[in-house]
Amino acid sequence: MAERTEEPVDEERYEEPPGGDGAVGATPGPPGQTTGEELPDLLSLDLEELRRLDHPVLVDLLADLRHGRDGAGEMFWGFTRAF
Amino acid sequence: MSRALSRHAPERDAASRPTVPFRQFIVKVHGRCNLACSYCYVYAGPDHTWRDRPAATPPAVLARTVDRIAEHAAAHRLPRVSLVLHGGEPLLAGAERLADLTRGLRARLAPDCAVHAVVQTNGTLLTARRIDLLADAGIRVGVSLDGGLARHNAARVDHAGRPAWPAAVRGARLLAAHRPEAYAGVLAVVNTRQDPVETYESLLSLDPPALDLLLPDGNWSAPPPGMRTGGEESTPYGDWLAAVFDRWWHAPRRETRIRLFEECVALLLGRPAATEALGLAPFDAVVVETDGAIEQADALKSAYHGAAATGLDVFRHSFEDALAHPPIADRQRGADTLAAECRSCAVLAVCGGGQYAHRYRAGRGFLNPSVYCADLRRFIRHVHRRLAEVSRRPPATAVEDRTP
Repeated sequence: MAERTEEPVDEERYEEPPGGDGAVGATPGPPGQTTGEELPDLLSLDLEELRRLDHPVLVDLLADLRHGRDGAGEMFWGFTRAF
Repeated sequence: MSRALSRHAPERDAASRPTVPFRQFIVKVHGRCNLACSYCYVYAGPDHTWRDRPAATPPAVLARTVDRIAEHAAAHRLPRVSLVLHGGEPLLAGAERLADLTRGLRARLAPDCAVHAVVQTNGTLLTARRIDLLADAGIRVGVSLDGGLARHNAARVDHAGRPAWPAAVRGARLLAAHRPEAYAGVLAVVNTRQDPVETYESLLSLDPPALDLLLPDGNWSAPPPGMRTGGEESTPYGDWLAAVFDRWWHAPRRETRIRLFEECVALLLGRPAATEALGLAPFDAVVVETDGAIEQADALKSAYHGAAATGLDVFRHSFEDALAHPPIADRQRGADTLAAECRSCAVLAVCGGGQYAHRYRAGRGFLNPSVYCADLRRFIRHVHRRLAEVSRRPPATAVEDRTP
């Protein structure tokens, strides 16, 4: 049985470059940062109106949201290493 | 950024928040694999707990696991459970054994508790007979491939270094042709060195009912491929996903379901989503290893040796005990356990901090944004923009007018 292992400080393997962040290109933005244009609030959208739009992918997706998540069809689960 | 993306659960005392029962049970039915993929989080990462565990899961472990799942489902009156037959390569356990296990679980559960069973395989061991055994037992089959061309799968090799592609694609095509109703879909790990649209379209050629695009394992201390890219913020993975999204979104029909994309849209529209890659939903999956150990989702193994361990096992502990295990409980607390930068982020409600394992930094644990933070923001804003564009369209004259 695997014992709980404390988080290692393995500098040889996990050495971070100067600057502190191992992933230079992925520095998170400052709290509350917004980049680019302001985008509209989507929560106020009427899903029934969206279903009447001429957008096949969205319409199918909305049908799944309405039916599939109620157990009528195959649903997605949380674990991402399988379906 | 809209209020939609910044909403999150109000602060609550952790003790007062009810835990969400496990609903997804990942059972390691075999602890070895016939492949040796170069990026495998189980065998090629920092964790080597697999070495000390049985290769084949003993019958006593499987039987006890079934007992524990049934116990948990009954206690919580679950209407459905997900049984994920995993590994290693689960088909090394034998398709008949997997079928027996699944039938055994169904027999133990209440009649009104449905079992959604899936086996996630590399595809190389699929034969018509095995597919029939699985399908007849109500087990759907998911295949792991990194694209629909041989060169997309260069990292997927056997222990002699030979490409797994010929056998894998044969298995995937056989599954699609022979028992399409049992075909769950294809999981592909994103490779930014591959053209995104070409990768997606090649995967479509395998007729998957669903796809998922997984970001490679990596974290702040062991960055994913291509992440070190100079001083400016770059978003290679966000850009890649955005390109595939547009190809998928603008098609004249939904050619396949893409879990990451659909869950992102659902979250943007304020609907619940179920993926550990996005969102703040309580994580309700648990793993049972080949020796009966109860563990956290094993993507954590990409962080450090033993990162997924809990010290619990199905012989001595229930899944209720596992729910009380602090690291597992933390993953059900939504925004409360995220880094401050995440809690104040405009895309929090959709991003959710991303995949838990991607937040790791040596010496600091998991209380960080995702190493993919910029990419996730890029991708989420892209999907948001596309949804906003569509919402400004006039409605179709009539549904019947839409060309099929």
